[in-house]
Amino acid sequence: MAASERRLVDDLAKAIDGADFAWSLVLVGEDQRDKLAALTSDLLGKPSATGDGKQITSGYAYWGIGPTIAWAHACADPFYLVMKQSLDSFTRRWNEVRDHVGAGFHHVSFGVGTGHKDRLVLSHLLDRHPDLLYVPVDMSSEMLRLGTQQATTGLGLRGHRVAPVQLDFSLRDNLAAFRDLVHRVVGDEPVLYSLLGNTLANFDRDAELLADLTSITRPQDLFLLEVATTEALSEELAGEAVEEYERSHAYRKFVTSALMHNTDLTIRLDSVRFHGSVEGDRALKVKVVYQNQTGGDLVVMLPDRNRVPFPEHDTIRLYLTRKYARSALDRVVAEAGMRRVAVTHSDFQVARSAHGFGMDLLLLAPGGVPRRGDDPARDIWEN
Amino acid sequence: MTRIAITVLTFGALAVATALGVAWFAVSPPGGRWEPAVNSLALLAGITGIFAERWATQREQRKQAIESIRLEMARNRETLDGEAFRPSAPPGRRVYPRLIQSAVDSAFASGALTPRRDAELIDLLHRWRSAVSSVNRRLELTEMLVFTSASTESAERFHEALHGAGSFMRDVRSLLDETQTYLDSRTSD
Repeated sequence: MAASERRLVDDLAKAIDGADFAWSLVLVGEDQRDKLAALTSDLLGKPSATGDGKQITSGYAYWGIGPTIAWAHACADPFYLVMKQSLDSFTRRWNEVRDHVGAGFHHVSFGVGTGHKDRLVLSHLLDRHPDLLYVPVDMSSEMLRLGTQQATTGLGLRGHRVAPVQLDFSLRDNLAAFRDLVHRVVGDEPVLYSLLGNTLANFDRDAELLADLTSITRPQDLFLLEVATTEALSEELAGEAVEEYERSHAYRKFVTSALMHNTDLTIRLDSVRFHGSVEGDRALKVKVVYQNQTGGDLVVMLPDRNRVPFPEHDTIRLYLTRKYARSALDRVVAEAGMRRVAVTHSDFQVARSAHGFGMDLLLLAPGGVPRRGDDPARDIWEN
Repeated sequence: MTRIAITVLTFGALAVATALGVAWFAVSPPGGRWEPAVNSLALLAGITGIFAERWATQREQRKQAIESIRLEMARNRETLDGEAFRPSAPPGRRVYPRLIQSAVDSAFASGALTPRRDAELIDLLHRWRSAVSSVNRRLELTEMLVFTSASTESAERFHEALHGAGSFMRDVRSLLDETQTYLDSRTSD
């Protein structure tokens, strides 16, 4: 880097660190017009009564200030059990796995969320590496702003050591570019990547996404994964998983907010439908759809002013989530080319909930599970 | 035994001479007190001088020992940051540089560090010494297994294990950080 370029970076860092104003330096990785075109395209799907046609894919559910605020409200709703329990129990679960994270780690957080969890992670990492770089990644710049502020305020992390990246990390090409960026910035120093809050469950191709995300890790890196889990799989339990989401009014507002902000539909919260099913031997799946129950056909205007028919009983899939079978977690992790370093589990403490729903926090490292005595390298070098 | 006898004899003689000097000062006429006064002060200076010299020597030894340890730690840091221990280094057969501990051994052998004053440092250095021995032994095993293996895959596996998140080297680096930070904080001592 030339001296003038270095001076520019130094000056910028000093200006950010020295100002009272809450500057944040955001790296935008994609043309947002393309994202809008993709959202519009997803809403042009064929009619389906089961949420398999039109859809709002993960990421767009949080895209824009309206959905971001709705998300923040939903997280504060005590009836949105997955989020509440996840936030409440995260401190304990993180405390149980954090000692496996050594000194000198940087932090890359995929899907920053409310920032509460990143704050705990950062607090621990900062003690061992005061010059760490924090890179939250999200498709929504508004989510980045909200989460990053919560994650960093009062921690003593200097402003120029926070580098939010606006990027759709579900796209493989984006991840490849992101990997190059991170590796150039941190060099050989280790990175703790995280995907928290059951975000993995929101993607159609979740296994592929996890494999893509973990493929950017190097031997010295770690990956922190949080998922909602169930002890067993059955249609009855899928129904109970649906109930868990159905009872939160704020959650309904959140899942419909993207639709409200990107179409001219008049939203009725009682038109939100939840469908539970068993996904093979790996998860309970909950699909949240918006169904036209007005008694007649509608025409919906999209962001590009195109009009798309929305016939009676047609649906728009708003959200997808899962509860992974705990027995399938090792397989999911192994298929992504990772192995468990540590895992903690937290049951949902609800009186009427006796079906083993909970949250698992997994600390993963690259590489398959070593067979004892089969790998002298690990026997010699691992603690 | 001889050393104790000589010490007792020396300090006994000095104490008796000082007592006699004081008595001499007391019984001397007012005009003749200069000589016993000078004699008593000279004896007192001799006694305190022995302790002062011992204290200064010990302090100098400790300072030199800590400075040597500091330099040794910096050297070990260079080794760990060097090409051989970089995760980005190409995996392959190589002879790794070893960590050194001669200054730490020397400090322990010379008794320059005292448990009363340096308890924390001594504990850190004992842990560091044990870690260095362990690393060097593991490096020997690694080299032996990599050089006797026909496949290049073996070297790659060792490279991965050496730089992995659960590698023993991470603890060694943390301990080196801790020791260097402690030594830096004691610079003013």
